[in-house]
Amino acid sequence: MTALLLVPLLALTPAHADACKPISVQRIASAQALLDQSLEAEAIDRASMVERARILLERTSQDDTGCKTAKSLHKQAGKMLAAAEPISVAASLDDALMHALERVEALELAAEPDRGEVEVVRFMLAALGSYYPDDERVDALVRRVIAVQRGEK
Amino acid sequence: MNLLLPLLLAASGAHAQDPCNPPPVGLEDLASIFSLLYEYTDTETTPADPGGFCPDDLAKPIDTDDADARAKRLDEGDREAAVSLLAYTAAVTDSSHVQALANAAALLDSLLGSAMDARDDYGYIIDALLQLANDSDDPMLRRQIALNLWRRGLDDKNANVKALIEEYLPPAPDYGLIFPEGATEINAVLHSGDDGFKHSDFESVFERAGAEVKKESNGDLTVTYKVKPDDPALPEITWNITIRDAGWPPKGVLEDFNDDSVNVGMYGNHSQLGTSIDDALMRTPANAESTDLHWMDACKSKVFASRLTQAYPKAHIIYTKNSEYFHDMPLAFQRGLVALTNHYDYEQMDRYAGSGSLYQGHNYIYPHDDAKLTYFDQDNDGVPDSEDRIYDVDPGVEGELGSRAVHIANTYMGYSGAYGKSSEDDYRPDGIFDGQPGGPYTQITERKDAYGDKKFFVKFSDEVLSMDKSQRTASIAAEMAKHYGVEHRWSEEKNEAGAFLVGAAVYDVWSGSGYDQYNDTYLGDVSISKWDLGKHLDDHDFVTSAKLNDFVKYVREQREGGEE
Repeated sequence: MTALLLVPLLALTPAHADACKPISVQRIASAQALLDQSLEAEAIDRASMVERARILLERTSQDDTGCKTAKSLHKQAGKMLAAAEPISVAASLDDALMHALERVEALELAAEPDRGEVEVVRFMLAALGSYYPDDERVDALVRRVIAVQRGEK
Repeated sequence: MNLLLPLLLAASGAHAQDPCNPPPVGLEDLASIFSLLYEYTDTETTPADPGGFCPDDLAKPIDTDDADARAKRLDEGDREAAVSLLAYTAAVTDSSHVQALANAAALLDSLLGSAMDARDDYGYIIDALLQLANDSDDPMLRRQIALNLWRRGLDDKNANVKALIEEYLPPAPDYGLIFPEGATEINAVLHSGDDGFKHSDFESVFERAGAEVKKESNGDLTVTYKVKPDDPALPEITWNITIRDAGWPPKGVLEDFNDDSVNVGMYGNHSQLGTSIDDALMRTPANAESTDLHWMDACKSKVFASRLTQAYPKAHIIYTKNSEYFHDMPLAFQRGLVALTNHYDYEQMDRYAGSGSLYQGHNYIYPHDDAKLTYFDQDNDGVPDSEDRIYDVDPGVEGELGSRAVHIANTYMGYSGAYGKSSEDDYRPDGIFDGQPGGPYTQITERKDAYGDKKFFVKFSDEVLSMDKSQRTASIAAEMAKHYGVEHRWSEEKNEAGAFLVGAAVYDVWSGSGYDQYNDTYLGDVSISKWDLGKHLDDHDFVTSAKLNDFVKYVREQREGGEE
C-alpha cells in the first residue's frame, strides 16, 4: 500500500530532474528498493529495513543538499518507520516467547528437569519481563517455570 | 585590576613574555606559580596552616573543588595572567613531571569554569589546554584534558575540542582498520559458549539473512555472509565469521585485540556478574593501541568496562546495560556487520540494530556514548572517569577494585525485587577515604553527577581494598542497601536484614573468604552459615520482598532463642 503511494511521489519529482547528483539518484533508487522490500519482508525485519533506507537518505541529503527528492522520501520513510516499529517489536517478542515456550514445555515434560536449564530459562524470562512488564504471556511462562523449579510439574 | 600578573612574574623569577630575559624553566617555576596563586587566593590562614602551596604538593593531585573556589576569586585580568603563566610554565616543564602537569591542566580547567560562569572570554584558556594536550607525551594527561573539556560541554563549539574529545568518544568505527586498503573479505569472530550455542539461534539468524552456515567437526560454526551495501558507492563485503565455543571460563575471548587478522569480534556468553572474563584478562596481554571493534554481549557487561578499558584504552567496545540472556546477541552481531558494511557511525548503528528488535536498542552502550564513562576508572583512583577531573598518577592503591565493587553492588540491588529495579545505577563510586578496621566501609552523599542527575556517591574505605573480592563487594553492597533502606524509611529490623542479604547474595560460597567477619559486621549476634544463604535468596531476584519478610522473621526468631 505504502509502495503504491511512494511510486507516484517519486514519479512526480524524479531525482534526475531535481538537480540530484548521479550518486544521489543511485542512492535514492537503493533506498526506494529497501522501502519496497520492507513491505514484503517478515514482520520482524520490517522496521530495520526502513531504518536502513532512512539512514541512506540522510547520507544522500548530507552529501547533496540540493537534492529534494531525498528529503521528501526520507519524510515518507519516517512515517513508514512509525508504522513498522510496533509491528516488528511485537514480532520480535512473539519470536522470543515462542522459543521460550518450547523450552518451558520441554522442562515440563522432562522426568528430571536440568537445574541449570531451569535457571537459564527463568533468567531469560526475567530479562524479557523487565522490558515487557505488562505482558501476561511472559508472566504466565514465569509461573510455569517456577512450578517446574518447585517440582510441581 | 590585574594585581596578580606582576606578582606572578616576580615569583617566577623571570619575565615570561619578555624575549630578552631567560624564560622560567622546569618544575620549580611551575611550583612557584602555583604557590603564589594559592597564597593569593587563600581567604583564611592560621599559624598552623599559613596557606600557600608547597612545591612538593605538585607531586600529588590538587583538590579540584578547592581549585574551583580559588579560580572564582580571580577577576578577569588576574585570570588571564594566571592562565598565561600557567600555560607557559607548563609548556617548558619537563614532560616527565606528569602529576605536576596534570595539576596545571586541572587548574586551567578550574579557570576555564570560572570564566564560563562569569561569561568572560575563555577561548584563550581552551587554546592553552589544547596546547598542553598536544604537547603531552602521556596519554592519560591528554585524556584528562579531553574529558574535562567534555564535562564543560564544549565539544560542539570548537572543532579542535571536538576532535580531541572524539578520541575518547569515537563517533564511528575505525574503518581504516576494519577494511584495510579496501579489503572486501573480512574475518570476524564470535566467542560464545555452551549455553550460547544451546540458546542463541545463531544458525537461523544468519540463514534468514542469506548467509551460508556450516557446522565444523569441533562444534564451531563457520558463516560466510555476503553483504551488499545499500550505498552503491561502497563495495560488497564478504564476512568470514567463526562462531566458537570458548569454553568455561571463556578462553581466547580477548585475543582478537592482539590479532591483526581479526578486528571485529564479539563475546556472547554469560557475565557471571562481572567475573566471566577474569581468566581471559589475566591471560591476555594488554594492548594500548588496538582500535578493534568488540561487542561485549553478556548481561550487564558494563561491569567489565573498567578493566577492559585499562587493558585496551583505544578499543571500540560495545557494552550492555542490562540482562541479555542470549535473546538479542546474534541479531546484534548480524546487524552490526550490515552496519559496518554500510560504514555507519555509532549513532546510526544503534538506530539500525535496535529498530524493531526485542530491546529496541535500549540495551547497548556504544563507543560514542558518554554514559560509558560512568563505568571507567582509568587512573585507578576509585573515582569514575565521568566525575574524575584529575589524573592521579600514583593513587598508591587499586581504587578500581572499589569502584567496580560499587557497580557490581548496583547490579545486585537492581536484580533484587525488594529494592526495585529503578535503584540500579543510583549509586556512583566516589573514591577512597582512610577507614578503620571493622568499618564503616562507605560514606554516602547525594549530589548531581556529571550528567546533571542526582545520584548517591559512595566513597569507600581503603580497608575494603585489601579484602577478598566477595567480602569487599558484599560489604559495600550491604552499606549501599542499608542507605537505600534509610532513604525509603524502612524499619531498622527490615533494613538490617535486607542489607545483610544483599551483601550475602554477592558471596561466592566456594572461594569467597571473610564471610564470618561479614556476618558479624552486618548481622551481629545472629550467625548464618554461608552454605545456608541460598535458602534465604532467590536464584535470580536475590532479595525478593517475600524472601526478605521471611528472613526478618527468621532473624527475629533466632534472637528470641528459636532455632531454624
